[in-house]
Amino acid sequence: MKLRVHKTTPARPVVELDGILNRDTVPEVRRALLRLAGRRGLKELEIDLTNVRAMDTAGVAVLVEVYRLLEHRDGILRLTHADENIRRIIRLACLDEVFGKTFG
Amino acid sequence: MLTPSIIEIRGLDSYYRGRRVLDGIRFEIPGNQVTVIMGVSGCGKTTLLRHLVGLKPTERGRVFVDGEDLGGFGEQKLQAYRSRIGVLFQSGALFNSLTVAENIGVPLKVHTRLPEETIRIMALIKLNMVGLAKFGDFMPSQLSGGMRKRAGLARALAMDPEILFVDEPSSGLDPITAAGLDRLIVELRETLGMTIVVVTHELESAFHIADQIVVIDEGRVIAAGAPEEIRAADDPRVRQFLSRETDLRPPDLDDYLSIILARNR
Repeated sequence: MKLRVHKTTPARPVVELDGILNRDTVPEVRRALLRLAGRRGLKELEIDLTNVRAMDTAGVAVLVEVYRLLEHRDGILRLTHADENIRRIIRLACLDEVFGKTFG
Repeated sequence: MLTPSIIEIRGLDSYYRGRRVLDGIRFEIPGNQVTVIMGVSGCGKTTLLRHLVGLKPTERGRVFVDGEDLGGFGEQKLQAYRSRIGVLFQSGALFNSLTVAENIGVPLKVHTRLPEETIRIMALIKLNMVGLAKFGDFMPSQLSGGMRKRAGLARALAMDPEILFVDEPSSGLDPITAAGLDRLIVELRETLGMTIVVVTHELESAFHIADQIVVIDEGRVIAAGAPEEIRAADDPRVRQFLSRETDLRPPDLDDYLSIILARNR
């Protein structure tokens, strides 16, 4: 799993994930995402899921952690380009109410 | 249409205290499909499940996983296989000293490098899937039998297993909860592409969730195929099972008469 931060403005970075977001890759991705989401002055974090080929509930769990951290700081998480498989697993976890609003 | 098989059972016999429980079992379990193993109580379904998950060694016959003989797996390969599967036995089998959420997290702690908080969220997701979102901090002893069973299913799902084995998921559940579990099984297959093996004697549930049904009677496969093929089967025992007809003459009547009449003393 690769993670690239680009189009960076300090308050609104965009993170592009590339690969499979599952129990094997989540530990590294989580560290990077939480570090980014915890930055002072961050208003909005966009996670671009275009190149995420598969995701399991470990992937959903890490998105929940990032969402919670941002929410506590009045920040916003936006998930963009989530394909139907990702949306389905988010629905299976009954988190479409939460993440549905963030889909760009 | 069935996909290529992930597990293949060839000529499997099994014995319990000298009695033959399984007799030349032969069928295949296709990947990303729901296979239902049906039969009356005591027909050998649970024994077969124990063979499939590697808990009971094969004496005669073979179980192949991805083309490799499960009976020939060393400890390392067996561990790798077990990290790919989730198993729910009839009892639910929770650790009484751990909370329900901690129970769900056990396989994740053992098999992954995931941090505590991620594991806790995953446990809550699985508990919600089985309708127990509010019970994560409860102890197993505080749950009813049906709730423990559902918690056991949540634990079987903890690792998002590639292959899920469930033994009588609906037993002891009210019809609404049982229907919810049926829907969950279908969604797991559709969303995560799980290969699911369900052992049950609940006819309605079986025909609702199955892509393939295998009917076992007295340790033998008497029918296997798509639900519509099983419905159309003309084997008298399959017909009897599907129409819920009871035997007028129990199959073990001779044994009973020998015992009560003290014939073999």
